[in-house]
Formats: sequence, C-alpha cells, structure tokens
Amino acid sequence: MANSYYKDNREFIKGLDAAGFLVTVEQEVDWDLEMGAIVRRVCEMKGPSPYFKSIKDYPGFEALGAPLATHAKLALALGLPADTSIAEIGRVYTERTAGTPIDPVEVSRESAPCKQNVVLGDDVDLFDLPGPMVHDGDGGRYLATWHMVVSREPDTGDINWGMYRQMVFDEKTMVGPVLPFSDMGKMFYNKYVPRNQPMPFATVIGMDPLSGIAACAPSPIPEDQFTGTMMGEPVELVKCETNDLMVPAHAEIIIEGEVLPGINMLEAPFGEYTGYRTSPREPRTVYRVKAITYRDRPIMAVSNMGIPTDEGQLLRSFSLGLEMEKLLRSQGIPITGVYMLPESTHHLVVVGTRPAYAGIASQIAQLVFGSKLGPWFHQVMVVDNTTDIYNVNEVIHAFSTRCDPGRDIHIYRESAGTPLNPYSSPQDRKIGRGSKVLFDCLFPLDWSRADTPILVSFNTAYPEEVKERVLEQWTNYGFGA
Amino acid sequence: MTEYDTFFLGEPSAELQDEVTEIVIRDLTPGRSKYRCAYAEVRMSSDPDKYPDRLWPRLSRGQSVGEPWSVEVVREVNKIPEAWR
Repeated sequence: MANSYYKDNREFIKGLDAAGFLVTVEQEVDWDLEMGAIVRRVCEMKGPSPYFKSIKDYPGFEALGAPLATHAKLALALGLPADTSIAEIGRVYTERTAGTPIDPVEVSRESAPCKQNVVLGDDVDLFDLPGPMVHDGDGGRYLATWHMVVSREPDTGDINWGMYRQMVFDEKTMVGPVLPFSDMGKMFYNKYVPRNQPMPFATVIGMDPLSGIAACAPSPIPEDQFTGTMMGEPVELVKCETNDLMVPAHAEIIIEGEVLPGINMLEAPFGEYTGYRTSPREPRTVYRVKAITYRDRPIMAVSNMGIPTDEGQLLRSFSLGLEMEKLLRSQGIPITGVYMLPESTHHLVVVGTRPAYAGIASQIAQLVFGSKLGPWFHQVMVVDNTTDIYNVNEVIHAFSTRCDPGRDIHIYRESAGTPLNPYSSPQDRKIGRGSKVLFDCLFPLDWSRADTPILVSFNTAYPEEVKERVLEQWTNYGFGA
Repeated sequence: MTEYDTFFLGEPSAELQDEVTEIVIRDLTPGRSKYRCAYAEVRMSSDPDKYPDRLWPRLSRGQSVGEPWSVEVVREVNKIPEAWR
C-alpha cells in the first residue's frame, strides 16, 4: 500500500504552503548573491521555504529555497504531521525503509513532465539555467546544491543517486569534487578511469522530496528502489535523451552528459556544509554536458551550505545516524538510540546505550568509525540510557559531567577523513586524513553503587506518584500547558 | 574594458607577471553569462594600467585581495580533449 507522499516538487510546494512553511516571493530577486543570501538567512533562522516567482535575467524560471532544512519539513515530506518528534520521524523512516525494496517503473516520454522541453548538442548552454551565485567568494555558480547525480556501475548495473556539488565552468562544462570513498567515486575511479571510459551521468534538479532524501541516505539499497520503499510504490522514471540512465519523470530539470576520465579542471572554493570555505580552488572532476531537459516554467531548487542548518546537514545527520543505529543493532550492541546532531554538521554522533559491560563505548566507536560512513564524521559520544540523545541540553550536561578528560577521551590518529574538514591541517586535508575521538560519557562499571553520582532531574529525582501529580496539576499551579 | 577575476592558488606576489602564463579567468560582465570561467593564456601585471582589461585577484579560498591588476588575454585554451567535446 502506498504511503502518504508528494509525487513531485510542485505538490510538495503546495504542502509546504498549506502547513505554513512557505513564503512566496513575488518581487524579482537576483540570482547573483541575493537569492543565496535569502536562503542562507532562512537556514540560519530555521524559517519557511522561500518560493521565488521572478528571477533576474531568467523570465519563465522559478526557484524553491531551503526545501527540507528543518525536521518539520522532513516530517511533512514523509507524510507526517509537522510537529512529529525526531525520534518518531526516525522510527517511521526506519520502519518504511526496512521493507522489501520496490523496483522503479519506467514511464513513457509523453507522460514525463521533465521532457516538456528538450535542448540537445550545440544548443546546450548551462547559462540558460538560473544557477545561483550562492555565496560571495564562491568559485562559480552552483546549479547543483539540492539535486542528485545519477550514475551506473558499468559491470553490475547498480544505480547510484548521490549529491555531488557541481559548479558551472562554461556553457557545456561543470566541475566538482567526487571523493574516492563516495559511491560514485568508487565507480568512477575504480572502473571508468582505468578503462579511460567516460561515465554517463544525469543531474536531477527539483526532484520529489523522497528521491532527494534517498540521494542523501547512505543505504546499501540502490536509491531508486529505496525511494520506492519510502513511497510504498514504485518511483516513476524516464529514460534520458543521450544515455540509458533513468531519471525521476516528474523532476523539474535534467542535465545529461559524461564524466570525463583523465582530466581535471579548477573548481571551488565553495561555502561548504561545515560552515566554511575549507577546500581551496583545486583540480576536480569534469562533467561534459550533452542535453538539458526541463518542465514548463521550471522550478530550480536551491540549498545554501553554511552554518547550521541546511538540507545536507539535516538529512545526512538524520540518515547517517539511523544507518549507524542499524549497524550497531545488527551487532547486538544494547543501544537505546543514535542521533547525529545537525548542529555539528554531521561530525558528532551521539549513541545512547545500556552500559552492559566494560569497554562498550570503545566497541561502539570502533564499529562506527570502521564503517563505510566513518570518513564523514570524527566524534562519537556515548551516553547512558538516562540521557535523552535528542536533547542537546542533556547531551552537553552528560558530556560535561561524566567524561573525564584523562580517562574517557580516546583519540584515533591518522584515520580516514575528508578534504573538507576545517580542523585538519592543510596537509591532512590534501590527503583526506584526520584524527577521530571518542567521548566516553559512561560512569565506569567498577565504581561501587555507593560511589556513583546520582542524576538529579525531574525524571529521576522524584517518585512516580509525585511526578504524576505535578504534571496533572501543572496548569492549576498557574503554568501554561 | 572587460573585467575578470581569478583565484591565485598561492600568494599573488609569487605570480608570474608580464610573461605569457596560463590561468583561469572568470568573466564579470553583468548578464546571464556572468562568472563564465575559461582557461586562458594571459599577460598580467599588478600595475592596474599596464594591460587593457581589469583582473581582480582572489586567494584560493575566495578572499578578495584589494587592488585590481590588469590583464591581456592572449587566447582561451580548451582543456577538453577533442574526442569528448
């Protein structure tokens, strides 16, 4: 049975509007910094998504900013009430994605809105699309900030949808980093480059929100099937014009072409998800464009990376945390939950556990740092089951009161990192190396019960009957509900 | 006069001046093609009046570094191999 979801970007815009999470901007905005500045401020304020109806130099185009940068919008995208708790959103997501993968279904060109306009060959000009200059100081205009890049493993046929930023270099060329440990990086560097074979790609802009969530998720299930499991029915795809890749039929804009082996061109800097321009202008992967297709009156999608919270931070934190929860549960570790704080730009993962045996925090850290997700984060904090992992105040309290700097901080040097880590030395960034750390916030098991401090909070310091009475009488005391 | 900017990968003082050198220039002409990049052979100088066009220097993480240079674009260089254009 199909779940409640939005079939395309346009239905989602209506959903955001109905829920009070949309501001329609009728006045003309400039693609050159103004649009980016608005989206940035919205991200920092956790505000409603701006829907830009008029873009300077680009009559006929519209844009949606910050489509999924809050947990409330994520809940809506999953068909849940906007005030659903993070834990409940995670539970629903995990339940839906644990089902049997659902294969996508191919639809005809005629029933695919993304084919309403087709531009091929010499007519292709990336400057015909309103790619924003997102931040002052960026290396160029980034068409792809909330998007997905479709690619295929040449031998197995496995499909990958992932978010790899793409800067417009010239009319037919985009450039961007493809890290070697990413899914597309493994395909490209291990298969296409040794064969000196261009890799077909399709960049999808303005897809339905669940396809976007799937593209951010580190699930081992191919993302087209993963999207189907979230939808509860097949996602509708259509074949590209210039290669055999399939793209969501209801997306706004498709850019097709080839990723070229054996050549790099200068890309960046860019305001990144860490909140800094960390990686410098450097030679990066080259995308040569052969076709652009788009819906009538296409709606660009614009995210804006910077200090929290943007889509990448929120959704990567959400899905990385849940994947690690699956990993730890599969190993029989008695965890109570895993939450990656978006405010940490998915660098800090908080794991709640029942401290069942000595060394459990180290075991947790070694498992998650050793997973394929390990390069993306460098801090693990393990707390016990008295701490609400979704409550930042409680997490900071546990860290500040239970983690002995001399005993409980464990450093793993020379681990895999990314070139985007602001704290890494310039040399470590260049080769993708970084240290990692475990903050063990569990009281040692060899302390006697008499010597172990007792947590003092409303939940732990009062008998149940007192708590129940206080809660029951709360408004009668004169407090608000 | 056309205005460009460029991202020096090192310190501007280390850049080769007055000899033909290859850099990436970014066209700052207002309009739809603003920020188009191109590899180009150029002559450049920290003297803002030496060559016909203006070149605004930036560092590799995008910091703008003050006074403009001047530049003469000798020719654009297409880095894409012929077979894949």
